[in-house]
Amino acid sequence: MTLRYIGQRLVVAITVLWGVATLVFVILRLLPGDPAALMLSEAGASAEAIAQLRADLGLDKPLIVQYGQYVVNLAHGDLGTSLFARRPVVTIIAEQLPSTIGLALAAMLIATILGAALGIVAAVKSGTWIDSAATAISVMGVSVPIFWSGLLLIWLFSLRLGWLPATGQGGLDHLILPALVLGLASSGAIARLVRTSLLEVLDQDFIRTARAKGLREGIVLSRHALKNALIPVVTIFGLQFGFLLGGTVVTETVFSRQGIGRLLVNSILWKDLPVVQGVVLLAGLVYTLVNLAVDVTYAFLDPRIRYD
Amino acid sequence: MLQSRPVKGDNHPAMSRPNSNRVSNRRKPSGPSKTVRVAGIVLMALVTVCLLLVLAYGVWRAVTPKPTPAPPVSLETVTPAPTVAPGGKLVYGLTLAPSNIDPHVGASSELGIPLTSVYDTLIYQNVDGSFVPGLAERWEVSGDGLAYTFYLRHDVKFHDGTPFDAQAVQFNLDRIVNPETKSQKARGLLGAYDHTEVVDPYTAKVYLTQPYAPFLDSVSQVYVGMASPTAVQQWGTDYQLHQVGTGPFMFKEYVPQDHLTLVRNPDYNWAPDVYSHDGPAYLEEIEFRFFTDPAVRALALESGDADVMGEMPPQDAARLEANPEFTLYDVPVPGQPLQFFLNTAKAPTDDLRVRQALLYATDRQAIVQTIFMGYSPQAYGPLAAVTMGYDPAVEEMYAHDPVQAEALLTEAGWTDTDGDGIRDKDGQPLVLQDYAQSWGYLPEVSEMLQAQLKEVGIDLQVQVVAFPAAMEAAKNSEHHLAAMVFSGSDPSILNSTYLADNVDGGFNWSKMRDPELDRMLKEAMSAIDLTQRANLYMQAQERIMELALVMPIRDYVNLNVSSARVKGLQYDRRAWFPWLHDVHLEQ
Amino acid sequence: MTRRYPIPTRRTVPRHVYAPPPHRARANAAALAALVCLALLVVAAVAAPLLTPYDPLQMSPKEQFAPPSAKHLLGTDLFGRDVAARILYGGRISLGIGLVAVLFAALPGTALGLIAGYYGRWPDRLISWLVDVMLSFPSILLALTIVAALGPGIANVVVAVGIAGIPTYTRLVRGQVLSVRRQPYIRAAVTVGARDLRILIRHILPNVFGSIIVLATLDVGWAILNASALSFLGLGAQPPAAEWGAMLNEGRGYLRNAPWVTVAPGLAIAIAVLAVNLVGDYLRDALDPRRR
Repeated sequence: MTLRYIGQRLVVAITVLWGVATLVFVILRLLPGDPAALMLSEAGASAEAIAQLRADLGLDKPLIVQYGQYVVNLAHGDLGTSLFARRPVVTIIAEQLPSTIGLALAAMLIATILGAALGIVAAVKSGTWIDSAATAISVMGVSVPIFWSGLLLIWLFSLRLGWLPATGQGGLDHLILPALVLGLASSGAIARLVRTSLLEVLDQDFIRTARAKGLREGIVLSRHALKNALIPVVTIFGLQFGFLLGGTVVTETVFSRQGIGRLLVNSILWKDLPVVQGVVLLAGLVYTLVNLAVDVTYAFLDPRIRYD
Repeated sequence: MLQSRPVKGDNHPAMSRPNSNRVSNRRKPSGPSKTVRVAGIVLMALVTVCLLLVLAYGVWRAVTPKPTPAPPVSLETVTPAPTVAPGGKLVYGLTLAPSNIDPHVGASSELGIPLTSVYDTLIYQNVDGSFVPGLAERWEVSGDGLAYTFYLRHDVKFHDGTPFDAQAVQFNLDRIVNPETKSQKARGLLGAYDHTEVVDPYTAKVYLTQPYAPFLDSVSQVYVGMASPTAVQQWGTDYQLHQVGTGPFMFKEYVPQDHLTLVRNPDYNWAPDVYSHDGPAYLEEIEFRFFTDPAVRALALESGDADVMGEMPPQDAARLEANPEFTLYDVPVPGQPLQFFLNTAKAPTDDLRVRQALLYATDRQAIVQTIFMGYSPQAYGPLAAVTMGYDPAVEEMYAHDPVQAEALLTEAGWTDTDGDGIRDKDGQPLVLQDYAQSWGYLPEVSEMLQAQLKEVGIDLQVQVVAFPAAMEAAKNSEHHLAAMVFSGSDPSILNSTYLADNVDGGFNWSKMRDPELDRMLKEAMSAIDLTQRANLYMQAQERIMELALVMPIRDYVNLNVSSARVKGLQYDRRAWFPWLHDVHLEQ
Repeated sequence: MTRRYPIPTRRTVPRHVYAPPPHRARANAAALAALVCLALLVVAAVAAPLLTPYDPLQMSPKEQFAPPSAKHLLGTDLFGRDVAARILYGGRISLGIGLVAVLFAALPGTALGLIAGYYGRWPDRLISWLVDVMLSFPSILLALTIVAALGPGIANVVVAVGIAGIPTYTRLVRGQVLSVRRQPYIRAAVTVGARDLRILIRHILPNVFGSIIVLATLDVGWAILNASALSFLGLGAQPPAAEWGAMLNEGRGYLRNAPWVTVAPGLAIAIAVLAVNLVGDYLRDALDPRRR
């Protein structure tokens, strides 16, 4: 039965992916400007050269044919060639991806630890000032713009104190600030959810039963309450992942890090269509897959929801 | 950004379980039991410990001295001549990442910075403009200016071991003019090149179709550097990642957008006179890194991430100049100044009086002071003051005179009939479109222009766009003002932006087709007589300003800053490219 | 003409929304403070000319990078413009963008959600699928893509952020409609023969309204953040507009010399979004159906 559920979700996911690819195609074809002219713009080419390139790129064919070509290319994993760098988009993305993944993972780690800690504290101490303080921190986390907190941290830790480097790649050093900024922002949402969910679970009868049985509070908390409370948190993982994906765009710009976020921004500014298309498509793909994985994990964790 | 909005999870059954299980409605969980309290305290303790660890790490970092680059290896023997300890690694900060770094193909000046050390050229040009031998020991120019004979050095090898000879020269020059190479700059530099004749293994004779005055200047530029024919043929389109020249440094690796590494060429056994010592270079390795974001350049330098940084923002340069740990190199750049082309093909800038009014209304001094902290001189004409052939007469032509500007506008029929502060004519307000690119402080300059022009009743609308978009807009004549700069040591740099041929699809963004100007520029290209050439360019500059085709703002000054440990750094005639052969690091 | 009988309706908006439940007194204080703060921000933005003698666009190069002082409360920027004035006038743009973008998202989103939830079958399938597709992107990426297509500018940012927000409303409204639809009084209305539109507007919408308001309020914060992020990246407001995100971008290069140019606008954004979030949270807790 689980297999059927997974199968269902998979089919839906595939159709959604197709929709994503089409949406990207449609949006970016709205872009004014002639890609062929842009490609040759540096050389100051003649009208014939531009026309030739248009024909080569297949831009003079009707939109349907272009779309068909686009889909076929996608199936082969061909995302086109960058207008600016004249290299395959897949290569460029592959080069920039590791840095972003590192950042996202580190941020997620920070967000989860911090968020869970805050949420648990707030729930356990519900009604006291600790709860209010933790909630306040969470709300601030989601309210403060990343680009601002990033700049503030740079100012404090790099310019004034000189503890950490402000920009660039490198090792753990260069990862701390960006991951912190991104993780802090994301932890707020996680904390809120953990708190709510844990509160609800703690109110349940089976918790009362456990306490009545004489189990220590620690066991009650960890073995019974948390396990159930964390189920909905799995959902938020998927969402926060999306938030992190979007957040890398700003974070990488602020900290001048390599990564697909910065690649995307630069490509938009430079009207490098194929790269924009490739990155957005990739983001959509990954996000969909992550959500699919979340749904499936849900199904495993909570036997009650195997219908849809 | 995304925060606690009701989302997917909210409608999920797990989130909205029926609360029939609740025995008591709405009762908050009673005060935490002792165990729960303890758990909470433990958690808080954990968090505190984490924070303390972070603090400790920070203190440790602050206390530990920053890692310094490897100290230079000192020579054991004592020699009477002043010795410089060779060795060491230099990190050089570049700015824009170019799309193609093959000098025969790409046009960006950024690629020239590292590659000047990888390639030698046939001749070299001193900073004062005189030519000295390079790969060619001597050369001759025929009387009619149509043939250049280069007598080459016999003892030079490429980094891959193949010998440098006349065949190589022919290969290189032919490669540049070959349409398949799609050369963006080198082809233009070679001008009227026709073919090369290999007279003997070490003598190459270059034939031109017509006299071409800038030829020697062109041949001394890194874009016409001599590459190994073997390597080019071996790597094909991938050659830019595996470049092979004859210069004092060898190309090691290039990771696009990230870094480029050069290592010393130990077999370099000569050096042109522009360098101060013969033989191999001092530095062991040079790493070029990209710092596209101006805000981080000073930071990288001060934290030791880089030893030399190019295009330093002016206020950072001012601060670092005062700091004895750093050296500022402010090198004026010949060529065109930072300027806006005024579109003569689109109303209202098609009216000469409007264009002149724009020039009179601009307070260049204020712009230079505010944005460039006085590091740049004002620009007055289409060429920067340090360019060969600069005509000082243009300095008298358009002083800052808002009164004159207003008079011209009124004369042209633009008056403020509706009292909104913006002039209008026939119901149309005086609105101008400015396409400013994102480099060179163009957005800031445009903002100041906006304010200055507002005072005389012109509404300047600024769009900050990237280069391709600006190119597109200029091609379609959508602009009234568009900025573009070409730098170069020869005044023929004016051709790409003022010749009538370059209006459609080229860089003549003022869209002016003036036969007089064309004649002057074309004649100057082939004039061998220096005085005649100089005269023609003077006339051309004055004509350009009379027609008010361009609004010059400031002369480019390349602000480079290096750590004070870096010695022997010099910049070449083009002002962008460093000579790194003599550079060494002091302890 | 058939006689239309009055349709029995129940009171759809619970009374206690107008009077906050007493046990939430503590949260009440925070939310109230936030509401006051928000009102102050809006008033300050609207009444900007009265609050500052400076023109936000007036350049005064001699006073470049002046630190905060009695003369310039928040200092000056590269061109000598008064930062405080720019923040006040900029509030009109930044806050305005947030509001309008939310309208852009809420109206079509709600309409789509109503249709999907009420009619079911293929409209529901289609709309739900579209929503899934759109939600396959992190919202800022979707907004970025749309801006990439349309080009930079305030109007385009509003459209982009608005469109990127539509699917959330649709999903929420659809869910609510689905649960409300089964109520007996809706069935009664259908049986009596009321027109669909009337049912939707008079019966279903008021029930959903509370959730929409909550979402919209929280959404304003999100819209302000995303729009200022786009301006920060250079894709939104163009110079010399005093939009808060754009101001942050301008001040980035001068972080060392003049940190106040970046601190002030960022603080403004943070405060505005914080206030909106607190009010939204309070509304959500107050309107929570489980507490009726």
